[in-house]
Amino acid sequence: MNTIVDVNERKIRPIYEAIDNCSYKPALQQCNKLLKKQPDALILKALKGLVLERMGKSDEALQLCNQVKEKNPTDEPILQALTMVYRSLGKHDEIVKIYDNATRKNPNNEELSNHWFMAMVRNSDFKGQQQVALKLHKNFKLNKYLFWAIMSLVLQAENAPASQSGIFLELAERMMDKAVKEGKLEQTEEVHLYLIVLLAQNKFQAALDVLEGDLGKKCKEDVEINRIRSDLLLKTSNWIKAIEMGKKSLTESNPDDWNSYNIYLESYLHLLSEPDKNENGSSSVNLDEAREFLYSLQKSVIESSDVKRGPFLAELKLEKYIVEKLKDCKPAKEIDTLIVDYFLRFGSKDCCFEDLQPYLKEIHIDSAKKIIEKFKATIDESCDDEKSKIQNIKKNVNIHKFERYLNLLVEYNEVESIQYVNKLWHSYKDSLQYGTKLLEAENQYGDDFVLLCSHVLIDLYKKFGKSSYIFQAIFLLEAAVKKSNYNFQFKLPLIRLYQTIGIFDRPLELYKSMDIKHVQLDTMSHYIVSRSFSSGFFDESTQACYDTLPIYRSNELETPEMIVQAFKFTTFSKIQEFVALRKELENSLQKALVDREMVRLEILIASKSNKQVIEYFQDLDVSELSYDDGFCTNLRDNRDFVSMPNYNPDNKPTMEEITRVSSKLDKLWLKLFSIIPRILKCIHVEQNADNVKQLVEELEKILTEEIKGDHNIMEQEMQLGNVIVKLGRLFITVKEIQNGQKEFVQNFDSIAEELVNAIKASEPVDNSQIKLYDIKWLLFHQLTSFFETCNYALIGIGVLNETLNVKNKKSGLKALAQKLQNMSLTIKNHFTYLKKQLICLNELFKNDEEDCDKILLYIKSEPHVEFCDEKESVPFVKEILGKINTNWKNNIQNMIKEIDSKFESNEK
Amino acid sequence: MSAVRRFKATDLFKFNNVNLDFLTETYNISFYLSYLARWPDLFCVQESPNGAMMGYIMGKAEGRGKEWHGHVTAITVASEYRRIGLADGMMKLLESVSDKIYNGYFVDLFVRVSNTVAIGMYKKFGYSVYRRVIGYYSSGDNNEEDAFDMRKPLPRDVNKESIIENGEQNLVKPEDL
Repeated sequence: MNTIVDVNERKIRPIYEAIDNCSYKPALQQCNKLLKKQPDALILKALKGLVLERMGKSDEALQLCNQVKEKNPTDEPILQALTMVYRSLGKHDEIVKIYDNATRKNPNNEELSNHWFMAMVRNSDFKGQQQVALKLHKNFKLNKYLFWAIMSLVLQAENAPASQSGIFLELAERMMDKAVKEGKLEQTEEVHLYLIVLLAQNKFQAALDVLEGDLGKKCKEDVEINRIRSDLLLKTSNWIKAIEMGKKSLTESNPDDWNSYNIYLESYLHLLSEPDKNENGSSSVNLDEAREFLYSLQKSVIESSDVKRGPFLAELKLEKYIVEKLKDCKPAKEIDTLIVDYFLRFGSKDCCFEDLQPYLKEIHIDSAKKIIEKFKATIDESCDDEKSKIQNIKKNVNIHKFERYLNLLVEYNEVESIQYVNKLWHSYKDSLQYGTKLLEAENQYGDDFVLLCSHVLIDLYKKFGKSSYIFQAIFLLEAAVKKSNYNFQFKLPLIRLYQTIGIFDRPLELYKSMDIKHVQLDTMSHYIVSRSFSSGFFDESTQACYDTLPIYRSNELETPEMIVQAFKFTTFSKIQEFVALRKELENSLQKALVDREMVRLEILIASKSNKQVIEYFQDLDVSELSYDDGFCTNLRDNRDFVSMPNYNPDNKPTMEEITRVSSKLDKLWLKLFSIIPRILKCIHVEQNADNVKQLVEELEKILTEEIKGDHNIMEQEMQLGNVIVKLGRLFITVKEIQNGQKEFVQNFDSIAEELVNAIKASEPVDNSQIKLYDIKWLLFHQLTSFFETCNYALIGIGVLNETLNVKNKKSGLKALAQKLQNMSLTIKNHFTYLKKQLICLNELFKNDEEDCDKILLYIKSEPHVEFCDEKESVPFVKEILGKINTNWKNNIQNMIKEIDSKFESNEK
Repeated sequence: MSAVRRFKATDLFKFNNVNLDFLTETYNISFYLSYLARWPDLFCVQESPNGAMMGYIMGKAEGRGKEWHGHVTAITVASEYRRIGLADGMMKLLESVSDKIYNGYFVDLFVRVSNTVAIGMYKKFGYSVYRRVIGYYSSGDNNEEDAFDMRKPLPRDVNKESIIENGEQNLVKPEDL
């Protein structure tokens, strides 16, 4: 009965086709039609389940699939349909079960057993994998299955406590040794597996022996095997062999390979510093030999058409080591000379700045100044061909970056700094003439001048606190974006600058223009969604948060399939990486942070009516709001904080750090915003005083931890936490009174007062006197935080009030209920105050033209760059200011509307 | 100067510096992983001495009979690491693996006909146009563009059968590839 032949294949095919074409309605109709005739046909039920799942009806789909599952089907099409449903719903253990059953019935079906194994792989059941692989190997004898089993042991070891992992690895090694003896290792990937087993046990010599033996010869062309081999030579102090290997690679294949230089130099310097411990022949090692080798490489690359940087940078590394570590030896050339020589050769390459950083790090300021002078001297001003002119631009850019990196600009005062920016801007404008033939997607040659301008202006802002510098940095970067439309290095700092002055929409636009998607949603979205609540654009922020989610869904669906692929192709060297990737995304800190931000936003949006907010809390799944230590320890921070350009000295914060509008979100923040909604849910739905008590205690612990800790939680968030603590306490008291413990009535007043005071304390200071040009992110953060605080308090008190009224009509607690009502009124007054503040702010705006003039006038009243005075830039500047002005106005009016709508709908 | 190593799955978290570049497409994770799962040795990354990602190359081996070859699916270098010979090094590596490990007859790649800079570079590396694929690049909104299929023979192709002269005139439709 449970075979596919029950149903004519011809009749089923249209269902598959409809599913493939995403025409689910017709597919469902066809299923139902056929099911009428053959109500027991499992394939039809399974396919209907699949269609229902695709239509989003997961419950119905699961129900159907479970019916099919109970019949223990063995037909591949049925199993596959079930697999697709279960996979999509993340029920990997169900897939394991159906194939387990099917294989039991059909132990000789190799394909079914393979599916069973893969089901285990998807389910991350490493032990199950191992067992099934061994069964497969026993029944069907393929070597591949043996290696699957060994790989599964490695994965088990990786995920077991340290005390147990040794046993798995020993077993894996024994199985591997046996396989080697029986001549079963044929592929490079199998050798990789062997190495993985040995290296996991730190058996370096054994691993090296494998590579030096017959197996190693089989894969001598594999780049990765060679990399592992050279690494092992170093780990086992095989200096002479390592030198040979490095030398061979540099002379025969690639004189630009940094790995090989590292191996060569490290081994060489080892031999040099401890000659006694080494093999014979070490006495012949001397520095000149290494130098001669590098010189010969330099000579050969100079003769070739494109000059590689490798041998020159290696010389720097060698001589620097000599200066620092070998007291008895003298460098062949002074480091400073080598640095200048390097600049002479490669100063026009962008990466020259990065290349020389390690060698300029601890240099004395006087030498630094001299070096810069010498760099400048390498520029040939007299050249007149375009290529040389472009090279000069690049050299100049690098020189300015070095000046910044070497801290040579600190002596400038405000006016001098502005003059410096003017100079950089002139250099940028001058560079534009050479870029007219560049493709649209390419950046202008002098773009980095503008970045440097913005960095100086940001320094000024940080030093003097005048927002005029933020505006100016925005102007220059925006002007440069016009010329290099796709330069992300402009866009990242621009996002931050706009955020500093409380702008949300332009950063979002810039972010979108970078076409950030897939895995980048995990690494880059923090630029937009971190504390997006504070922007005041609640709907837009919510959308921005939702937009980051697809990557996590892809990871659930795609990555397990890819681990399966890696097993199928026996690519053992990649399996651990894929498993790691899956975990990194599953346990992404950013994902958890976005989830919490969404909950904040969703509560606020739902708070427009009491009914809606109660429903929201009813549906809120607290298991999604984990914050325990186990959960937090596993979280992985994949956020990208390094892609924003930075030329600051090593001992100073990076530009990314400097331009953050608020502290970096961390696990403490995550805990805070996990517990707050949990407490609110508990008060609203479960009404369990013990749970609230426990949560409140944990919340208090976080607040004290923060006072001692890194201060990554903002003051306003602390105040919010404090209000929730008091609200929770008040709830507990009310519950206790309700339970007849009359002595708590006395407590009520003091706790209620504490709550009122806590709310009062979080009230933002009067901002009505603020100047238009001084509007900042922090202002909106204060206003929205207070909005959030009052909102939680109001709905919380509302619930308390209901609790008392409903159950205690005659209990003589009317006085308490009255007090609660008074508290509601107090909170409503806070809202009124907030609204008044917003209205005052709204009155700052006259009409766009006038407002922009006012801001521009302010900027010009402060030290400012020439760009602001230039006639032709005025319309451009005003356009930017106009947009800023509109965004501010919209934001303020939007928040007024939010407050109004909250009260309108509740009064209805 | 760079260190070449295999691309690791978790490098996807570190490649923004390269992939935020407008011309470098970011694909879904299974695209990268499916390459890694099958041709782990044809997907390599270059790192700067300070550990920053400079660029990467991804490729595959495909074709039947004398069409068995290495294919360059993507090659990209972050803007600050251009013009220092990185692409050259990565192409050589892919050619060497296609030759020595996969024993292919040639290596090929597709490039927009408008991308004269890249075409010039590939010619310098020893590639020649084998055919022009009509409308190979299409982004849906009439932005169709032809591609050059460029090839470089490997030692196994002793008689250089994989390349032809004047391939620019050898027009094919994408469905005939």
